[in-house]
Amino acid sequence: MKQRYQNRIELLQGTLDLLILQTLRWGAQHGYGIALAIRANSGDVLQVDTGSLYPALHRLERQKLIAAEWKTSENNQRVRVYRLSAAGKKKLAAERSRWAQISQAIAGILEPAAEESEA
Amino acid sequence: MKFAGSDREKCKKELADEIASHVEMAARERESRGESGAEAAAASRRELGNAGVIQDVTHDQWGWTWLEDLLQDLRLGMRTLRKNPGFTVVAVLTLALGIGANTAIFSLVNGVLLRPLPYGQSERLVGATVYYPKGPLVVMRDQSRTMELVGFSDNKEFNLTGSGDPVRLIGNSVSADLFSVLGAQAAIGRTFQNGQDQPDKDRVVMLSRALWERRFQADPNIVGRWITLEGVDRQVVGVMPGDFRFPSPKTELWVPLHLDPRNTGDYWGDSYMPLIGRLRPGVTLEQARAELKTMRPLVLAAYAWRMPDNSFVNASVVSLEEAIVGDTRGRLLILLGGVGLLLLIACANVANLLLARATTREREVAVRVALGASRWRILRQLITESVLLSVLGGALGLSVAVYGLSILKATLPADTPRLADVALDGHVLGFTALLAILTGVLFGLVPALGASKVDMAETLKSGGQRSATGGTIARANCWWWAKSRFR
Repeated sequence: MKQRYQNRIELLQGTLDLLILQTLRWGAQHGYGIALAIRANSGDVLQVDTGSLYPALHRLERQKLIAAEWKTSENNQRVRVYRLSAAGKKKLAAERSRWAQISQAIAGILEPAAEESEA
Repeated sequence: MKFAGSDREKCKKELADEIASHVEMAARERESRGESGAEAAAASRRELGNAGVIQDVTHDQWGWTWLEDLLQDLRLGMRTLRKNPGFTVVAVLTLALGIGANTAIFSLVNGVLLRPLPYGQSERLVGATVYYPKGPLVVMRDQSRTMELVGFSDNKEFNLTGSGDPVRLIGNSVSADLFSVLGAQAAIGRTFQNGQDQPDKDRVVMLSRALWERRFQADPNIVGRWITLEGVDRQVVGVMPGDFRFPSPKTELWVPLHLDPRNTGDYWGDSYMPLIGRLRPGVTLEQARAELKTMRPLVLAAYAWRMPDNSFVNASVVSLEEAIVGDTRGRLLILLGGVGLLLLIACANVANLLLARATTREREVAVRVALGASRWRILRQLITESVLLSVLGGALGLSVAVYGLSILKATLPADTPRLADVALDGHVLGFTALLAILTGVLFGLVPALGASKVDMAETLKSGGQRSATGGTIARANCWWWAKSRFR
C-alpha cells in the first residue's frame, strides 16, 4: 500500500515539484491551497494526490527550495504556509527552461508524424 | 536534520496537524457547496486516503527514518520477547550455549594460534626441532652467521634458603643472551650480560615479578642482594616484568647455564635442551636451515668421542611459533569446527521455534500489512527480533564462555602451549558480537521470509473463527480433507 504511494511520487516527482514551485511564485500558500490552485489552473485536469503533495512539500523544504511557517488563516485556523526561497526561485527558472526544452523536443517528435497523417 | 527524539516527535505532531487542517479546509469547502457537515467530513477524509501512510511517506523525506525504525523495531521486539517468556528463555539458552562454546574455543584459538608471541619482532624468532647438549650449542653459537642461538633448560626446582623459611621455587637455566634474543628487558636492574653463563661468572640470578613481590616484599633495593639457591650464593641482577613468562608461567627465577667444558659428561652428553634463535637481519629461514646442516659435521667433530652417524641428522629450524604450538594447531581447529557445527544445530533449533511461532503471528503481520507496512518493513522487524534474541544469547554466552574457559584451562594438559595467553580479549569480544549478529540473521531469515509473505485478506477474513494458535494448520487440514472428499 505504501509502495503504491511511493510509485506515484516517483512518477510525478519532477513535474509535481515544478508545479508546486510555480504555484508558490504567486505568493505563500498552504498545502490545500496549492492543491486547489493546481487543479484550478489546469482546468480540473491535474488532481494532486495528497499522498504525493505532502512528501513533495517536505522534500522541497528539506532541500531549502521552500520555507514553511505556521500561520493563522482568515478562518482562525492554524495552517502551515509554504513560501518560495531564493534558491527555490533559481530552481524554478532552471526547471522551467528544462521543461520548455523537453516539451519542445517531444513536440518535435510528435509534429512530423501529425503532418504525415494529415497528408 | 530532524533527528533528536523530542524534536522528531514535535515534527510528527505538526505533520498530523497539517494534514488535519487540510482535511478540515476540504470539508469546509464542501459544506459551502451545500453538503451536510458529517457528509462533508467523511467525503474529504475519503478523498485524502490513508492519513497514516501519507504521514509515513512524508516523514521518510526527513531522513534518519532508518534509525527511528530500528529503535521502534527494538522496542517492539523487546515487548514481543517479554510477552513470550517460554519461547524467549528456550531460544536464548540454546543460543547462549552455542555462542558460548564457540567463544570459549575461539579464545583458545586466539590465544594459542592467532596472537603473536609476546616478544619483540617475534616473527624473526626460530626454534630448533631437536634438543642439543651444551657443547654443540656453544659450537654452533660461535659458528653461526645466520642466527643468534641460545638454549634453556626445562624448569627445575631450586631450594631457596637463608632469608626466612626455606622454600622450593621453579627456575630455569638459560643462555646469558636469552633475554636479548627474545627482546625482553628487565623491569628492575638488568638482564644477564654476555658471558655470564661461563663458570665463575654465573653466580647471578634474575627473579620473576611475582616472586619478587611475594618473597621479597617488592624490595626496591633487591638488585645486588645475595640469595642462596641450592646452597649456592647468587647475586640478584634484575627482576623481569610480570608479562614475561618464559618458558612457562610457572617459572619464578632464571639462572645462567653453567657452560663448563671440564664437566665432560654434562657438557657433551646429558644436558640436552631446546634451542631458540633470532635470525640476523636479512637472513631467511631457508638460509638458517641450510647453515644448520653444514654445521652438523663441525658439531660431530668437536666431540671427544665418535658419535653415531645419524646424530642430529633430522635437525632443522622452524618459526618459534610453530615450534611452540606444534600439533596443537590441528587439534584446536578440529575443536573449533566441532563447536561451529554445534552452533549451526542451535541455529536450526531456534529457526524451528521461530517457524512454529510464525503461524501464530500471521494475524499480527496481516494487520500490519493492512495498516500500510511494506513487506521489507515487516521483514526488517522480524530480523531485528531474531538478532535481538541472538544478541541476548551472545551476552549470556559470554558468561558461558567465561565458565567454559576456566574449565577448559583446568582440564587441558598443563603442557598445552601458550595456555597462559588465553583470555577473553577484545578480539574474542568482537568475534562474539559478530557471531551473535550473523547467527541472528542466519536463523531469522528463512522464518521471516515466510512470515512476511502472508495473504492479508485470507488471514484477516478467517481471523474471526480461529483460535490464536494453530489456526492455519487446522484450516489447511480441513481444506485437504474437503478436497479429497469432493474430488
